[in-house]
Amino acid sequence: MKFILFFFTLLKMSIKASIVKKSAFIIELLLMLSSNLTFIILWWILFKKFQTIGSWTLTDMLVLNAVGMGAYGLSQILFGGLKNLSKLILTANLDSFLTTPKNILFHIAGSKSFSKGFGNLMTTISLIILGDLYTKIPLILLSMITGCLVFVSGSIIAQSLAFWLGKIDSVAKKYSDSLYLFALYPTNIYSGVLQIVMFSLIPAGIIGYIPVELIKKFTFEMLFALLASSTALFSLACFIFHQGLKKYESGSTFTHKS
Amino acid sequence: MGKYIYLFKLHFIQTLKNKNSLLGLTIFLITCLIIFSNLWKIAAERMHAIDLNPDTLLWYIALNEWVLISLPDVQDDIEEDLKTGNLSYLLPRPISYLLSKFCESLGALSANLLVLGTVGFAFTAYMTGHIPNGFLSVIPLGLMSGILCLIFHLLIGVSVFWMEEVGPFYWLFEKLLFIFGGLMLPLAVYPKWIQTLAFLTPFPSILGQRSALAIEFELDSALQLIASFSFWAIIGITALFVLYRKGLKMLTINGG
Repeated sequence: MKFILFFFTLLKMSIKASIVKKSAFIIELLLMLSSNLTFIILWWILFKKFQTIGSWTLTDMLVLNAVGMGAYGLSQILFGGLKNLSKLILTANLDSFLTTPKNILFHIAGSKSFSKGFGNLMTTISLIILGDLYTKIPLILLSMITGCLVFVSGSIIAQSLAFWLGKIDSVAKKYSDSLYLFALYPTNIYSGVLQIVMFSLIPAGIIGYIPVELIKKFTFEMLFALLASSTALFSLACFIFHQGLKKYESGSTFTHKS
Repeated sequence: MGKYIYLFKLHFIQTLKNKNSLLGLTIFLITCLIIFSNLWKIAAERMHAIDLNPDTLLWYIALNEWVLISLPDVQDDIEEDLKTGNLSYLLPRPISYLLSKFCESLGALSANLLVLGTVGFAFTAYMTGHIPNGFLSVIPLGLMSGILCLIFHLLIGVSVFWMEEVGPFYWLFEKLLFIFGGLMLPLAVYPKWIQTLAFLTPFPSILGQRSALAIEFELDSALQLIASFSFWAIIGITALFVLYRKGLKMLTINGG
């Protein structure tokens, strides 16, 4: 209970700090919204031309984008601190987190929040209104939470590789960005080995495909698949991080937490 | 000039020495090649939009991804320099901050292009069993499009003087590059008006047009492309210096 209270207090402060410059916040919000809507308009044009892409309709695509963008937005707002995880490892700046009796991963995650995430959440709201998806809100929300877990897990795994491989922050960033990009493609177009890749190495399928299929036709098996896969991936990410932490060497430097 | 060449050399060597990062980027490049080639194959089959054979397609994607994955995140470095206050230590140096950032990232870009190009093209040649006719001519154009992207990345980085972070501008730029550059899906899939709109931006010359030249090389098209690069580079550099100066003035007045 104390830990949850600590995490939310930390988050509250991080969010406040991220939106302190009001004008910059509004510009960021509008930029994210327009960048997302550009993508969606493009899919709308394509669906108008081809009606279906691999059995998916425009509504399915709107659900995919609502879930994918919402999940990414949540991960930026709630777990923004993870963006710099590999840098913290490389510069031996984990020391200041290790000395506190709190869960280190959540402490790092909550130490920063990105206001651009609100732009993604606004896109989700716009898509729910535009696509008349009101009846699907509970499942969209649930899928956003599981999708957020997948994004966070992907980021933790990619950035934790710095424990073993050293300076690989640019690779980690490119991997995280690509996960977001591939999650917004209609996952049903992938087949064979590529489908396996999309559910393992680049788990875009867990973010997009399962939620869309679940929302299209609810089954408990699909719900279980969604919850189990995202939780398993998150557990794996935590395990990898803690294994890496054993290899961490302190930099013996005095630093302050940002 | 010597100090800028030194910075270029330093970052070129530094990037080459970081073997783990290069290995990671290479694996990432090959994964992207496989994913995008499948995606485009589906686009060709189901949308009947492009009539390229799979081998040509793989070369087209390889040439696009080669530049994209090689690009260093200079905009993030600028954001960090400003946020951490590091900029106040860097500005008094007898060296232009903006030019030093450009040379550093050009060094990293060149090293990435060299390694990713060698591995990526070897992989593509092995998979397809051939090398396209205009391949060699496209290499310098690849470097030019990388430089143009760097200029835009620097421009995005300079936006941090006004914004809390550079991410939103970067996402917008990247999405437009993917869409109008013809990476996400072939430009031929889109309606005519989007294709016309795309050609009014620098994006097709950075990606699609340049890669298409390797497949079917024409001197006129290559010269057109060079003219387009020069035009957008002049616009980018002018905007960059104007915004940078305005940003610096703001920094002097409001403090770092």
